[in-house]
Amino acid sequence: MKSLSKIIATGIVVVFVALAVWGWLALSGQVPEGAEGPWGGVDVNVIEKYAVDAGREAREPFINTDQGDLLLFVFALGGAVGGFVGGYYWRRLVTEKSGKEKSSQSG
Amino acid sequence: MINKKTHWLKSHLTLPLIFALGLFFLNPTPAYAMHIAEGILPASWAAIWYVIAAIFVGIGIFVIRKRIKEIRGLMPLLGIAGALIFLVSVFPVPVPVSGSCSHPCGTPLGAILVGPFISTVLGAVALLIQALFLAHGGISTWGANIVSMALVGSFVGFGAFILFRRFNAPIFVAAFAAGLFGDWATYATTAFVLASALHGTGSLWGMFGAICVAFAPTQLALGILEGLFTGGVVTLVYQRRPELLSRIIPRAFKTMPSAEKGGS
Repeated sequence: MKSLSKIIATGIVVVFVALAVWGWLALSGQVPEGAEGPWGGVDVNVIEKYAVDAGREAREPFINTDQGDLLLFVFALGGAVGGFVGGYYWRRLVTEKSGKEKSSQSG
Repeated sequence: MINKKTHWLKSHLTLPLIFALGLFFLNPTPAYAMHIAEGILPASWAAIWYVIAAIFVGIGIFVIRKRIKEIRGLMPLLGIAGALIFLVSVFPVPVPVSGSCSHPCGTPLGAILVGPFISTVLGAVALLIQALFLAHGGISTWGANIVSMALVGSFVGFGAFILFRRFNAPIFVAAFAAGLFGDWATYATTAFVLASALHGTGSLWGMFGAICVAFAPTQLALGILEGLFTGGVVTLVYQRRPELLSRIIPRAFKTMPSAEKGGS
């Protein structure tokens, strides 16, 4: 009974994946071409396109870091800090053994 | 002695360095995806989404305070879940065939690791940092972005995970479903947020459908990627530290007799 429900649950996921792949390929010509052109993000090519059509344009952000290399700097800094935090805690959680485990191994 | 030092360096520095280097080289430009930019939503709609977001973020903060007292070692998990949500939700992924870019959400994974209310708070913090310093999203649209990515992504992902585990799906399959449905639900909510505010005299559901179709070629594929990522990370954490996951959602991990052996 358990293995049957396992097979059904896995089968449902497989069906959704197959439908998603089919939809992705079938609808690939429907990507609206926005201001960013090919490989543009969907927030500009979809969200902002529909917003402009409805008469609402995106405003400048309150802190505009999208100037020269400033955004690249902030982005890389944020990525590096986030990466170090993620990496540090990943080590503590996944690779580092707890004191209890260490003592049971040595003893 | 040298071996000991080398081992220490390896164990302490390798993963953080790989993370940081990967981010520097793979992530040099901002991602553009479900975040609704500053000024797109009228003030009244922005306020409605703020109120909904505030309720769930408030509950989330309460849950964090309570859980931190109850569960020892929760802080590292919150740290890694927050960092992952921040990184994943600004990570631009080009989608072949469609020729467009978008990003996963990370909140379905966060919800499995720390629970949906806490994941909502972590998502809200990530969105605030992105809006303030990365010109990504907006302050006026923060509430709407919290509702779509942090709230709906977390709860749909968490719900899908629990549901599939109830049907005895393997850990990877259940986590994959969480990533897949959490991602799609996030973008469907963004479509609804936009359509409800901007449909004007036209049909709400007509505009909602049109935006969903425009998202579909990119997001259908990206949902699969988010599913694979979520499934992979949850399986890895479960194999190495099953007790971390079973503390948050014990029922979902109760029927795993092979857990102690590291299998699923």
